[in-house]
Amino acid sequence: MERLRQAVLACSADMAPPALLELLKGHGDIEETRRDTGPVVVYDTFDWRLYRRKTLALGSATALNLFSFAGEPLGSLAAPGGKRMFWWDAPASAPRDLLKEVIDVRALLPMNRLHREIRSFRVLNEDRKTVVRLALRSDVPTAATGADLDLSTMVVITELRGYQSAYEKLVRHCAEVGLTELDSSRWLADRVYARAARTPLDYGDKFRVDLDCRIGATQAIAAIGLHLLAEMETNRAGVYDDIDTEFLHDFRIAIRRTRSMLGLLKKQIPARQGTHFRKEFKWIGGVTGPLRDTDVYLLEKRVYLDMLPDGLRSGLDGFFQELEQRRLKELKLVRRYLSSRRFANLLNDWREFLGGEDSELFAASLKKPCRRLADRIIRKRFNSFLRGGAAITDTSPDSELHRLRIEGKKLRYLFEFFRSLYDEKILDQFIKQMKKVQDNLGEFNDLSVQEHLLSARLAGLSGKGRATVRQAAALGGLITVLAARRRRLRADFAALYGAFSAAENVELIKQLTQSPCQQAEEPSSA
Amino acid sequence: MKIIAVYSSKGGVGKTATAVNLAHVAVREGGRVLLCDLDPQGAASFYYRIKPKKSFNRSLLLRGRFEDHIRATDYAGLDLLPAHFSFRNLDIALRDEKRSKKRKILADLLDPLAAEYDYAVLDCPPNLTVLSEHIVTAADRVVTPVIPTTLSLLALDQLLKLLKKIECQRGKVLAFFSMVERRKSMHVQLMKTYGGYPMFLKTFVPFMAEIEKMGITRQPVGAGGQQSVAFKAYHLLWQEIKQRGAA
Repeated sequence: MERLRQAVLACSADMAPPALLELLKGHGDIEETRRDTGPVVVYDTFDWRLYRRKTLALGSATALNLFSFAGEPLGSLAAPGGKRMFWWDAPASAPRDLLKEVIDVRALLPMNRLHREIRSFRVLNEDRKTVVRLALRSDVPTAATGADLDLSTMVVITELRGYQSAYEKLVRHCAEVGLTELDSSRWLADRVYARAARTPLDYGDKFRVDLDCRIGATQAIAAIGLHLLAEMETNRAGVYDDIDTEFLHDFRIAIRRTRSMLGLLKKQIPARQGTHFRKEFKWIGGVTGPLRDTDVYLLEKRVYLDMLPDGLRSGLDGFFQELEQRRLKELKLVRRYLSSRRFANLLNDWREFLGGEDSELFAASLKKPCRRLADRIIRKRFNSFLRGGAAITDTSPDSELHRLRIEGKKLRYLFEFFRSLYDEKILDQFIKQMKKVQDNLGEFNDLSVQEHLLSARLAGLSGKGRATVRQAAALGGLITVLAARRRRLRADFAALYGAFSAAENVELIKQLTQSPCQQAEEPSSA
Repeated sequence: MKIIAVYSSKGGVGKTATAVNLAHVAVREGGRVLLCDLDPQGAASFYYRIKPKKSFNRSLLLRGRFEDHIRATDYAGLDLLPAHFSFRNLDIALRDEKRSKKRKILADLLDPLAAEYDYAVLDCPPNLTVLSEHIVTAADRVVTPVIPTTLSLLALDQLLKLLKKIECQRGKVLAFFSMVERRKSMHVQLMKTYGGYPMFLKTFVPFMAEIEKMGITRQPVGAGGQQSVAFKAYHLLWQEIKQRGAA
């Protein structure tokens, strides 16, 4: 069946709702059916996961309502209240499933606050049958200062099936009295984020730093380093406030990328500072690791329980309770480290090193253009990855696979740092091929780490009670399942690596590093 | 999409009131419902204040070109296919249709709408013709109102005979007592005698002025938002119909 139409029109600033209604009354019998007024909070995850899916979550006093950008309702959930909400806080329902799929482990946070008034009307025919619906809507963003900012009233006209002409007549009439039609595909998104403190999509897209091919390597290091520093600072508060686990995850990824950059571009960085920053970033990466580990196990709780038969599941209760307690302790420690003088100094010194006018970074004698440097390091790392992969046989120890994973990660980071210099089509084609091997190695590593922790836990169990026996049985069951999965991954590796190391991919790297620099060409062609 | 036919060969048993109110209850629960007014008298259309478009007729319906003639009611989620005067000869037209043999014309006509609606509620005319055969064949459940009187029970008997003749499952029939007046001993007696049969639902709908007044208010009972007694009765009836496989 044909989709029903909706027109969204904005009143001119001098047209108040009463005057507008007077104008519309000439059109037919109009009856007010409802008036909703009250505060509305617009929610999204810190990295705009709902917005990326063209979905809006608007919380009122009683419910959290999901809408498309065009204002179509997508479901409603009981409002949990509070400053944040996870999908698991909502009662089981289709909208909760939608939230689960989109926001995953992230919390919904208030992104904007509005005072909303919606007056709903119906236009009646001679039988007093509704033939078209319209709503007058005003949304007033409540700024952080407490001052109200006014936005003009909007008219939303909704077609009813079988009454096309009444709809068209009313839209025409509105245009005639001076209302202007808006983009109906995203009017609600534009409306609820008008004058919000944050701009949608200001965080969380793919890692990308736009570099100019003509700049020197040290300037590229500064640009990439500052970008990563900003990510650390952005996520720091979320880690401290323990909003959701992804803040720490993103924080640690920024640290890991920074450490990788310091290692990969070691020769471009003054030795003394390079050593100092590598040591300090290793420190903050290390001290935040245990908290992340407990997060991972707790997030995997459902997966672990599903691995076990019903009878063994209760054995994990104690294990997870201890993890929860350990997490609290680790969080306390991480908070202390994040507030420490040492960490503050690290960030300040790093910022100064990357951006300070008299930084030794820029005094270095090497002024090689960043693209040439990137080409060289990418080729070197790729060859190293190929050598490492070729050396792995069915009898190689697991540690060889872990080492290869690290090599692959470094190569991947290089692609991310210098993405803007290359033909992105070739780059993405290569990354797609490489991802298959990386996923295998990554999962293999995760399983090894998990097995190791569970085995350590099992070895540390003491006591003879039933609870201990149950926990031992559950841990044993988990270790068995994980080990079987790990063996399957190991068996798959040879075929995956064989496909990756084929001549086509070697050729892709050649093409990539020989392709013209993307940005250097632009000025000459302009 | 589940097809719920509200059917009885006897007139005046409360078919239209049942179809109109069950459709409204289903929508209030969040369902998407198409109410098909197959009775040329057009009472369901009248209750919802809907007139068919001038261009609508029986042959358009049978050719499957009726989507443009579906009209929204005043209740979000509830659409109505209005009756047309030409529907009075629908049974004759169906008999003449070549594809009539398998009695699947109605089912085939509704099939393209399966993704649009959760339920199609059919308000059927009171007769026992080829149209009746198509209706009971298409329906997932045949809800039949029975006034606790001899003639009304006779109509139920005829429905069962029809099902047997066209080899339809008897289990799809859900009967309930309608327009019950407990002060009448015959009503009480017949309900006692027949109410225990598995095809009878436990819920019954009493005779109520509020239902009769739908002709004046031209809206389903409880539409004003008040939890009326009649609304509660239809609500209970719908819950039981759903439990008996209509959801």
